[in-house]
Amino acid sequence: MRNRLKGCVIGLAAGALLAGSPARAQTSPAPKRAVSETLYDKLANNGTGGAAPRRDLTGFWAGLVEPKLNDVPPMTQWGQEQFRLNKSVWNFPVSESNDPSNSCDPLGFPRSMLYQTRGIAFAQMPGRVLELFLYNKLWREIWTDGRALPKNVGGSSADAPDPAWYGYSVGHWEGDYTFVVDTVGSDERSWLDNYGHPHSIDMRVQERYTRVDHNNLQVTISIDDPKTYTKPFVITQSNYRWIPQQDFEEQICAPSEQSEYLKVMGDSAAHSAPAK
Amino acid sequence: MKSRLQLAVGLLAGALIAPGATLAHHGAAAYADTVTVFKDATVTKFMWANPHTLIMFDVKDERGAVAHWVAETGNPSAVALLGWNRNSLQPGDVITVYLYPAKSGSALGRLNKIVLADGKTLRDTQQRGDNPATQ
Repeated sequence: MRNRLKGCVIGLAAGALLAGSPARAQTSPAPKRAVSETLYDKLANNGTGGAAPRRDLTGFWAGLVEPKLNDVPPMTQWGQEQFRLNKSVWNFPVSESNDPSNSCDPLGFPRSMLYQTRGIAFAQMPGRVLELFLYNKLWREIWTDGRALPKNVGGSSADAPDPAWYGYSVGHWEGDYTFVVDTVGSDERSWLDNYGHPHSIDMRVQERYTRVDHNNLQVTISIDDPKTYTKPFVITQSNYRWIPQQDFEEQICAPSEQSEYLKVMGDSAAHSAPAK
Repeated sequence: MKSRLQLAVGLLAGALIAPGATLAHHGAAAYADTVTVFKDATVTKFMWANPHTLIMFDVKDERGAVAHWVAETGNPSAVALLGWNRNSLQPGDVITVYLYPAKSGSALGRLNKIVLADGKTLRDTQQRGDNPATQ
């Protein structure tokens, strides 16, 4: 339900105010049925591809642009205060939204696994697994050499590590097909999701990647952030499909292109329809 | 739960459709739920770029006054899967534009589809868009 419901109600009410513009030839109701055209969908009938290889996520995977997210639990007072500061594009015009992604700031983690997930990839190296993201061609390191997660990230002591947009991650295998990744230290400037839900520097995230078969990779992402949310929760359970050609197209949030976009679409006053 | 609630609200309000649950980034709230059709729209600029490809076009009203409109579509990665490419439109092309206009009254909208002069249709990714199977 989130804020979309609010947006929906407001939107529908506002929709009644729409008057015909001189330039509009005709108006017709939007058909109900949805288009579903993503690489992920196109690969729906590719089958299992056989058994999953043992302890191996290596390869390029297609996902949805935005996996289905569960509702967040009630926020703490601190969480609510942070949430009020975040103006998502679901509730505000682009020109008034302060979504970090509007200026091509990093999505950060875990938002990078909750939005713009049409392509992820894994590369396994001695002592670490790299997770690569189609969006903005970036990666995160997941250490598998047995090191512990850093403590007190962002703390006041001299040796406290700095917050990191993509946090600090370690991973291990549970059995031969589930890779478990624990992450701490995500920079508080990143949003949790597109709705502007916040997180604190104390958030712990666990991802469980289960390679069901050769062609399907399921991931469950859990959030534990008692400073922000009143209880831990699973934010998404999503699936990725093996990309046969094992390649990504390029998709970059280029600040100059984004700026042009905002200039055209964000400044709606400059594009008012002519007077009747 | 989320979708059912949206649907319930939509039906309650007498709307024909609830905003899609998987629209990327930009909320459907900014745009109307009905499609407006512009015939004989002249393309002035086609921006093949992130985050959303933009089509700028001019249309004339019945008195001959020209209005400048902008339609945003999915990003290049997404619409490329629907047959678009960076050369799909050139300035001067005359097309038919189907879009969901901005509720603000601005001459902006989210694209539904375009029909080129040769009759070819290019659809947008919008989840509430029309169904190719019915075309």
